[in-house]
Amino acid sequence: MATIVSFVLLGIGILALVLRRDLVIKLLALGLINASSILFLVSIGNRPGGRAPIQFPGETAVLVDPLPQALVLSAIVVNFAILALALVFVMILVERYHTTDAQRIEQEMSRETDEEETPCL
Amino acid sequence: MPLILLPLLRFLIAILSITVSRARRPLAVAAHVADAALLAWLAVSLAHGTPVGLTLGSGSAGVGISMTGDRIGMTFAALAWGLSLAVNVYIWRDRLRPYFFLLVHLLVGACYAVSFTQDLFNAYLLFELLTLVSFLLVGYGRQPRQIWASLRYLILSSFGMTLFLFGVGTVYAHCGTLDVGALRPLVAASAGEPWVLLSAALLTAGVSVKAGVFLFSLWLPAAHARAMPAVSALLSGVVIKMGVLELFRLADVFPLRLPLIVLGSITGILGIAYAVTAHDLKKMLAFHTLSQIGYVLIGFGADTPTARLGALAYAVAHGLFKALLFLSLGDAAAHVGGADDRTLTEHKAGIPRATRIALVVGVLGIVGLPPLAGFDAKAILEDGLPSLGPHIVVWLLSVGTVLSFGKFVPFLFARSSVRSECPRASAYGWLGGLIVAFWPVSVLMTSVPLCLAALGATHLIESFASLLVGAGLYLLVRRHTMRLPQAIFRLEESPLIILLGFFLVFALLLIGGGAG
Amino acid sequence: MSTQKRWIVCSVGIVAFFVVLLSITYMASMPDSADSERYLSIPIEVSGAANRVAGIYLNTRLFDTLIEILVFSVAVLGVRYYLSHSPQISLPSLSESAVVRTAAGILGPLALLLSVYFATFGHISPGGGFAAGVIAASAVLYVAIAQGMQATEARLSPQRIAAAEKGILLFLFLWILLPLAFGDAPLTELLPPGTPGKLLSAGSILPYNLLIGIKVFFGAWLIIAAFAQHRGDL
Repeated sequence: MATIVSFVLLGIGILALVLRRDLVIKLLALGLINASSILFLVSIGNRPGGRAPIQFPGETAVLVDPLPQALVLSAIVVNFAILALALVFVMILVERYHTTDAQRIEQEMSRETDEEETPCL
Repeated sequence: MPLILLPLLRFLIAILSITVSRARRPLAVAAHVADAALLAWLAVSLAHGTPVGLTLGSGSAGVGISMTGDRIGMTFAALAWGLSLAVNVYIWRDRLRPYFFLLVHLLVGACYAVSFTQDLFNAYLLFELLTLVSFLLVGYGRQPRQIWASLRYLILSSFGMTLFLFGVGTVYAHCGTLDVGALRPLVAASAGEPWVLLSAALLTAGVSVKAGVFLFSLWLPAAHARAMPAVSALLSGVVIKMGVLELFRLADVFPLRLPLIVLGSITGILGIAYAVTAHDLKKMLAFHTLSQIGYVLIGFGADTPTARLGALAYAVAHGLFKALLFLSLGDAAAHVGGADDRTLTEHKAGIPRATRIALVVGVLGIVGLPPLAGFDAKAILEDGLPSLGPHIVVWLLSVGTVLSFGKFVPFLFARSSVRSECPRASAYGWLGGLIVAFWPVSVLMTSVPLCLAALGATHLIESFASLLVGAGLYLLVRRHTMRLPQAIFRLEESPLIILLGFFLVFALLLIGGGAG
Repeated sequence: MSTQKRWIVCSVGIVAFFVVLLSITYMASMPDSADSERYLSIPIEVSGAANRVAGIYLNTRLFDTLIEILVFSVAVLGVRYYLSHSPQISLPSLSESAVVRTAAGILGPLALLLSVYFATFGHISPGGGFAAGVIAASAVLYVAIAQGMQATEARLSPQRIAAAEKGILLFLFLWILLPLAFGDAPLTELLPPGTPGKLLSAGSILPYNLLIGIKVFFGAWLIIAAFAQHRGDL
């Protein structure tokens, strides 16, 4: 069940990344995509009736799989690093072009350089 | 032991480069010497036939992280070493902050680790490290165009790695291990089941974003073209190869033969098409990176041992001449004031002498003049191709390469009025020497009979034929203009095209699985 | 239909097909939970940590954690590099109300205590170094919002924290390479595992958690301080 939810979140994230023109919204969409992968990984480790994977000597309860949670810890830190740096770059671009609209930034950039206007061959 | 020491030592030197920042140049020298010793140790162990591998952490092979030294990993690690040596020599006298040295050392260390690791999640983390470091290196100059190109790179790469992570999760849910060696029998036992198709498609799509496959790596032309020359050389030469290496490891586990051949052909043909119509020469070189990866993928998809060795040799050769071309073109552009062919032709006397020679050697290498690097590797590759179809595609790609490099001819041959600086010239000498003397290097990588067969008459005839046809076509179409759709490289379309590529891989896996 | 609408319909179609394909293929072969018992079958006495997750990412898969720490450090360095070179804008700083200041004075130290608890007990209860570092950075951010950035920076100077962070990273790498001096491979466990469940157990996991907690706190705080310096205030 949670697995399907993670697929739907992935789809929503991709749609937001593609359809919205605001750069900050695109970064939020990227964060949603990353979060959906984390949800997927954690939901994979689920065991029916399982408890959190903390086990003291002598206990024999059913535990959920601890590996996906270990993977997810690393993935969260990596996603945090990516978002922080992407945000810094968005900030630099926005301060330079005074707009958060991705298409307008591209137009301004291609107006500064005319590299797409030269004939081919 | 050398398997884990190579990356760890590089990381340590990276950290030392920013803590003891005065010593960063001697540290770089020490790094290369130490790495050469470790690589030699590894090569000797491999030559003796002793299996080199270790498992990190307190666990057995399927549980801890395993690293194995095999021929493929050793080759790419040596390529990373050679290119990082060239780049470090090239930037010897440039004023760069210690932070730049940290990034380059981390990049090389991560490449070493990717060459040897057998664990899928470890590969994911190393790719994310490579993504971040490449992203920071591309944006180092802080120009708006560089920042925009590297931002697109980061977003698309993160998206691709998320798909990879979904694939890793699916594989783990069904197999309970992330180790490539342990996965092989488990996946083979359940061939054709839906989860195998799903995870193979997700993993392949994810890695292809990093590996330079056309539909997935649409960030590549802008990012590689707008970076500093030294950074472009490293990215095109080594970092892309790490993605290709991971594709090879996946191909050992999943039935990726048909997807590799089809993706390789698409990348090769579309890459050449865009390269022919590109005017910014740095962008043209970046498109060429995409198309040359096509050769490597076709070779590996053909699945015969000779073709695999040929693909390996071509990956190394491509790293060498692409790095040389980026370094020398970047230097020439800096002297002349622009990287498009009109500016370069107008001011062709301003290109330094050693840079000009380097450009000539690089161009000859990439168009496949015998007996330079490109010709050797392509010949071994073609020897291994089983049927006529891939053979024709490879020959067409050679013709297209010659055609697009015709743009270089107007400014290649002239008298230079400027001398090159010593660091640049030494870097060119190292790379150019390896390209010209590639035949003995390919003997080390493959075997003597293969390399002797590479110099056979059929290959020489094919190579000269492609040179003539390509040159003729260039003279014919020189005056024409053509525009290919540039919209696919925008940030809005690229994720959708990645998804379309995923569908393609999924469909190919269905077809391929049904056939065999 | 206009181009805009066609574009939207096309994108939604492709993404919806993607999600449906994933779901159907995933449901078609549901994993059997007995397939993955490798990590649960390792006895906890091997790593000595009652928290099995900590036993994995700080013992069996320590190399992964190392790469992840490198990623984090590179991110911190990158943020500081780019923001230090961008022109600074200064916004007027607003003083906070008495409610915020009093609440921050009480809750801030409480959150810091919580972060120390998570780092120290990370091997016998949920928590760990990363969570601890983030909580500590959030606590200090809260206090900085209340009392102003200048006062906070007077106590936690960014230059010294940056140097300390690099020092911790260097120490971590030297510690990992230390087994070479004893003839073992790097990344092997040097301290004894002990009895799981006690505070002083689990080998090097406790020192790792503390070091990682301090390092993540410094790193996250440096990122926040870089943003604040760029804007002029929080």
